[in-house]
Amino acid sequence: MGLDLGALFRDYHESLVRMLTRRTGDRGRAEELAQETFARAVAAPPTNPRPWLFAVALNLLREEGRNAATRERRLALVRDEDHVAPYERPDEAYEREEVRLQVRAALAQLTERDRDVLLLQAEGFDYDEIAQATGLSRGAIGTTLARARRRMLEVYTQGEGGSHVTHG
Amino acid sequence: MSHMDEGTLHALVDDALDAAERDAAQAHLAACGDCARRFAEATAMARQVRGLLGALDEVPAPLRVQALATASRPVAPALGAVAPPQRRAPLVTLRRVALAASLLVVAGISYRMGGAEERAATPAQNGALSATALARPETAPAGAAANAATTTSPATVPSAPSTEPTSARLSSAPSAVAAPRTGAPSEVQSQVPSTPAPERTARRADVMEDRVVASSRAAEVAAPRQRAEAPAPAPVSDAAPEPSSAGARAAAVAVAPGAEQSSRVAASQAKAMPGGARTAVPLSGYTVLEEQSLPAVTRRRYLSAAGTALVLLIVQGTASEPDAIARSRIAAPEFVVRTANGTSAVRWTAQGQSYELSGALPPDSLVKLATQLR
Repeated sequence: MGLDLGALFRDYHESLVRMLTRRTGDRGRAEELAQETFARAVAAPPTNPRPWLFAVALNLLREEGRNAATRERRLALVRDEDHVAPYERPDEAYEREEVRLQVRAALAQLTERDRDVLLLQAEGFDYDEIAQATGLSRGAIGTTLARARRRMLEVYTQGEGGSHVTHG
Repeated sequence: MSHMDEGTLHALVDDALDAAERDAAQAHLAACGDCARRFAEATAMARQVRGLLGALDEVPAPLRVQALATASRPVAPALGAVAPPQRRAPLVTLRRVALAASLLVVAGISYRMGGAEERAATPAQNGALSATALARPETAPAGAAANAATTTSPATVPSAPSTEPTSARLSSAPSAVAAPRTGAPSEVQSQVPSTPAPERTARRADVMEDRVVASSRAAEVAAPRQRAEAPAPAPVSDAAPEPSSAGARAAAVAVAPGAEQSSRVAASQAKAMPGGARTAVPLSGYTVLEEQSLPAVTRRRYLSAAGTALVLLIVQGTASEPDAIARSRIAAPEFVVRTANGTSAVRWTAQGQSYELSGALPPDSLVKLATQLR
């Protein structure tokens, strides 16, 4: 009641899926989590949708991580074994994949809280929204982001073999 | 005065300070070279991290269509002889997806409110991301097609006898037919299998959990499809020779004549299928490439000028999902499934039949297209 589902979906679905994809590295799983999140929004319409949606999605992700059995229930994905992205030359695809792996590795080095804050900020959340979605105090967001960014770049630069200096 | 702390610097970068704080911070930066340098550094860090996160976003999905096994619990008894029990499709994949039921409604509403491509616009901070999203080759054409489609009145859904659905890979077929017409899909479809279609499809199907069933079924469907994949200009109609490897029970196989005609016009007109002997549902922007009418299922393949392939399965009987309806507050008989590689499937039921439209499109684009078929 009073919940504009269409608007909700239009405004946040893509962003939510992107964030979850970055977080999980699995687009299909991200879609599922997003769907489940929206299903919950239908059941219990949130007043402040954006932080709510992302908080629920991140909680679902954590629950899922805790409960390995849940993974079994996931949609059985039919993998394309010989998948080659059509619009990318193989060397470009390879390079891109390298970067992606390094970024994933760097992200994995962050604490969960730092990672979540970083990903939410990347989706255009302001500090109030980040605070609402994560339960952190608003005053802690800047410090958290500063630490997360620095750490992320440090680890990523190491992963590159230190060939690039990203900051000095 | 003391130096600004790191958190404040980043908050300034993110424009998260209130007016008084911001004024104070800027005054300090003007007076403190160290902090000004740190501010520049924080700005660069924020930008770099955003760029790195963007690298995690999806690579454009390959143009490859995969029809997921559709749940078709009730198989028409009369067809029992034609469709042996072991050919039954696995229901597993639908279970988890059941939650999507409510989303379908959401997605449906969102179409009416705005195009999918509009949603590609992302927050300003994510410029790189939105570029990525927009660059996905199949998204734009699909959105455009869907938009063009809104003027088309929904066509009647053809009734069809049914069977089981299949898991089949369809990527290679469109290239053969489409290349001469549009030229566009050819490089995309460069992975034309060198192995004969049946083996290939069967191998792929082996990945699925329901191995035996899927393989045998895939082989069944693949055999007639082989004919369709041949770039022969003349439509192949009815009574394909029984491929021994498959033991196919295909009653009739037809290649839509539309495949050889100009795309948009042909696609927007309903067409009688020689084999299926029923009206092809037009999907604006898409040409019907092929239609197969097996005893209990009709399978129709569409191809857009941009090279996006879609598959529509029409299966007799509805796979009711009590689970889904119970869990969603909205009893919408629809599901959206997002599979790997950007392939999606939309399912719905109408007039005692199950429909599944699948293709390498975002779910919302597919839903939009699906509304044309209803």
